[in-house]
Amino acid sequence: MRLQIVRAIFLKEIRETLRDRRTLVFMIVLPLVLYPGMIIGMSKFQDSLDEQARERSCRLTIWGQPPADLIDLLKARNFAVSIEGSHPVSPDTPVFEPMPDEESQDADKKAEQIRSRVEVHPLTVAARPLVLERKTDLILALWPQTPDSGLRHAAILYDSVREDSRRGRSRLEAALETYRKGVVTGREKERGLPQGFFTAMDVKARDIAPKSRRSGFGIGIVLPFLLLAVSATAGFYRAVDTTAGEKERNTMQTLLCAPVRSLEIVAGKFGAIALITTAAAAANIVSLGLTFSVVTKSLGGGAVSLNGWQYLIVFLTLLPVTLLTSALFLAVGVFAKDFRDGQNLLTPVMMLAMMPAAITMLPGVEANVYTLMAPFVNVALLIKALLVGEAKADQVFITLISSAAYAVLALLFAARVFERESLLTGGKDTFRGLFGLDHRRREVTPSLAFASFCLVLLLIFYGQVLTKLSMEKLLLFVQYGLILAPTLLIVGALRLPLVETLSLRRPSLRSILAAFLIGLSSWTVGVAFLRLLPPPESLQKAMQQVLLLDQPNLPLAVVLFVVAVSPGICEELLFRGLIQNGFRRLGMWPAILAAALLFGLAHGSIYRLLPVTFLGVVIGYLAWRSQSVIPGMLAHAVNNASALMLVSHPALRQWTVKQQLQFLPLEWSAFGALVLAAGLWLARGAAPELEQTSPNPS
Amino acid sequence: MAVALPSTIYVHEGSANHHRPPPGHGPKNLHAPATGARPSHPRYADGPGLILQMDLRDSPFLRCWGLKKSFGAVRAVDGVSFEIYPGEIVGLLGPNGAGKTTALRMLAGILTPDEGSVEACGFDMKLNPLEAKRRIGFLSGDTQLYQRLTPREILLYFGELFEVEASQRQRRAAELIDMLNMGSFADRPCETLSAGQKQRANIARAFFHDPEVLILDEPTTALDILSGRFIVDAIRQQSSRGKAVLFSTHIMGEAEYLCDRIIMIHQGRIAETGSQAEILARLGTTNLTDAFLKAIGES
Repeated sequence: MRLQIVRAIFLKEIRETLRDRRTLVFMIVLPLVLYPGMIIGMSKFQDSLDEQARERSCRLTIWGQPPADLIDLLKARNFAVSIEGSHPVSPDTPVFEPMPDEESQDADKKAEQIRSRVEVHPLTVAARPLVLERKTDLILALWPQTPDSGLRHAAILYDSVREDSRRGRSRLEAALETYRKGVVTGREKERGLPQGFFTAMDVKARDIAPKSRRSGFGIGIVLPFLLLAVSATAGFYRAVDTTAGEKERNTMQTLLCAPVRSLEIVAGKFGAIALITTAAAAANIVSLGLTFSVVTKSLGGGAVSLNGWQYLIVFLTLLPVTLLTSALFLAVGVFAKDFRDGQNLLTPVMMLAMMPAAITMLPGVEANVYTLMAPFVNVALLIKALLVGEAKADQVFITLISSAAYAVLALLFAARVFERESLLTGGKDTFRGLFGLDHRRREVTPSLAFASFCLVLLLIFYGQVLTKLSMEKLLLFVQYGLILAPTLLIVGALRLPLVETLSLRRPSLRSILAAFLIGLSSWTVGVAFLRLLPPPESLQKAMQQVLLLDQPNLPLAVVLFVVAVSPGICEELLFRGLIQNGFRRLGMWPAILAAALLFGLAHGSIYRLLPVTFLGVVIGYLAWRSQSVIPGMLAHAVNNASALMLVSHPALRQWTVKQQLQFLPLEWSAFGALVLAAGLWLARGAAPELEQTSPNPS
Repeated sequence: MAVALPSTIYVHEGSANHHRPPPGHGPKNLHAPATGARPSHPRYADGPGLILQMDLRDSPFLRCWGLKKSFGAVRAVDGVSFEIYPGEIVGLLGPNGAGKTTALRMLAGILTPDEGSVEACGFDMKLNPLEAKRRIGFLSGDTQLYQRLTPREILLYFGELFEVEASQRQRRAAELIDMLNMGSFADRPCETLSAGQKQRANIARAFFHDPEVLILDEPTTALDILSGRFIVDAIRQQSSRGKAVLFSTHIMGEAEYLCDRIIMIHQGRIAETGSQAEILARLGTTNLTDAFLKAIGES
């Protein structure tokens, strides 16, 4: 790749962009206008609505005979009360059932049943036309007071969709609560009882979250989505213009007849789109910062208080995802015949990117190992966490690494697409052709290996979100359903040779012996890395769950099958089979290290990265030398089983507690290293051929 | 042909083959070294290496053999072979859909042939695409320019892509703007230019790196007589400087006026080839239009 050519293409793209008003509008003007307009305008609009609503009296219809003091109270609180002479409430009218306690069993089911009964309740039927047709804002139904009871039933009938009605409901509830308290106090006095006798407990909830956290949370709900959407929109037009637009205008063919490599074209164009998207992201953040500072000043006291560092970190977090969208747009844009086609193709891509980010606006979607690996979701969640001051180093790490990985993948895809002349010159292409599988020897490529890794990560994320299983079943589902099955499907769908792709060869005896030694010892060396970056308690607890240590009732055989044997089989077929073989053409060490690094990353923790990657390197070496995935499976299973035994065996556990051991003693690691060295030495000559070609006395 | 051909070209040691291969049998050693057969041109006059003298007509600037290209079930080009020599203007005639554009795109290196090869000045398009493309200037009637850039900016941009020396680019741009009478619009964005002005800018773009071979696909389509004539003159001028020109056209008058040799292409194959006189004599017609119709079996 010649940098001066890439630079020439890049500069030409930038020059064209700077003369393209549409991109400039989306890039700079939109954010500059959008945020002040939206945030200041919306808050002013909301304030005026609130004020209007406060001034306006609430139209309340009362069914039944209200006490005179209640009517006075309601009038004093600005309710326009109208008491209906004829109404459907009689002593025989069934009272509404209370909703079930949320903590109780089958709460959802019971609530659903109650709601369906509310639907056909005579009061619902009678109230609907009045409230929905806005003849009144809400209705207070009062059952007649029965002489032998101190309790009077009442129901508020309102329309949750109508703001007036909803607001009236909370105001009415507050008024009724005041009235109820008055009644209770009166009764206590009447009977000469101490104050609070009937109330028994007075509960007040207070929000103790600091102001910055509260405002961060508020902003964090919409901001990530907004930032992603606006910065992607800027790249969107440039990407369509530079791919489909160039094809439509026939300038692509002019470029293709110049002595320029397709990779140089991709690099130049990608650089330009990425710069534009990044500039748009920066413009967004600057505009946002200015807007917030104006809002803060006008509200007089830090409604929103993000500092410069927070803005900078938000910007840096956005960087990899802007690179990802740029590469994705570039690759997909080439498939389009013309500008309109490009917009049609890229709009769903943009929606697909924005939808996960929109999911993060839902309450309850929080940053964890798996959500932080999902593209777009991770960045949105991290920004959210940064704004409420909850982001941890581990999360930043996973997000940046996984986003960068997806960006690289998208860029590789774009480069591949640009190599397909049929696409560049306006024709169509097949999926197999695109991945170079139609002419070439069928073998797994580095891009395919990397794509498989990303696919499995995504499946693990969505698979876990969608299933509610107990831990041991979930682990089995992840291993067989989300790791093994996709691996086999990829091999099958692309008709890759099974034996070569997954190294499913019969292992030599020597390699089996090596596997045992490596499995027994490698974790003792691997855990020594934990000293460099000690894991926090939360991770230790999560590990205990994953190792099923909190389920002492499970038989040991089941635990070993779930925690040792299954990962040995499934993870090895993916990482040392498909992935390591995909990187094979890079040479032994690059292939082993790349597969090991992905193996480490897949375990989703910065603290576990080094130990797991180390295990990946050792097993990768064994798999490479033995030319079979089977010894690796054995080593992996033995490794997991022996580590599990150490932490789960009661006697050993007691001993570690007694010794106050935080880490495995270094002597153990040193001894383990010796055993490991022996295992690796055995592995070195463990290829099946070597065994066969050994000197034969006959 | 009233063209003053230079009598020699300078060939560096270890250059590519200079014999003409029979159609369909190209030279095996297509991977020409970086210093392939080069015409006598000031650019190359002081290059290093052993200099041999040889007859220019022995070495074609553009050579293709056995070119085939299919799009799905449609075979657009089906075994086309020919050569074009320095100073020669060859016209490619054929009805719509005959495979002219596909053939020209393969020759320019935009499309890869399914079978067969292309060689520009001894450089094989498949094995050494950058060197081969550097020797070709391509222009088609429907090729557009970057709307938001000016002709001068486009010239400088392509100068960079063709790795023309930085010090030469401004001078060369000024030279072409002058030569093609583009002074009045050289610094206006292309979106404001007329079709004729755009095509002139496009020609300047194709000529900028001073290529040995010019491949022009219906360059005068959609132009008025004046602009068309201007372009035809420019083609003649390049040929007189020893460039090999291959151009396709629908306009028989243009072909009659310009071409030293004509290749008639029909259904992806060469239907007739030769000088105008040879073709007329062979087909027994008095003009090129009748000859063309006869060659493609329409008369």
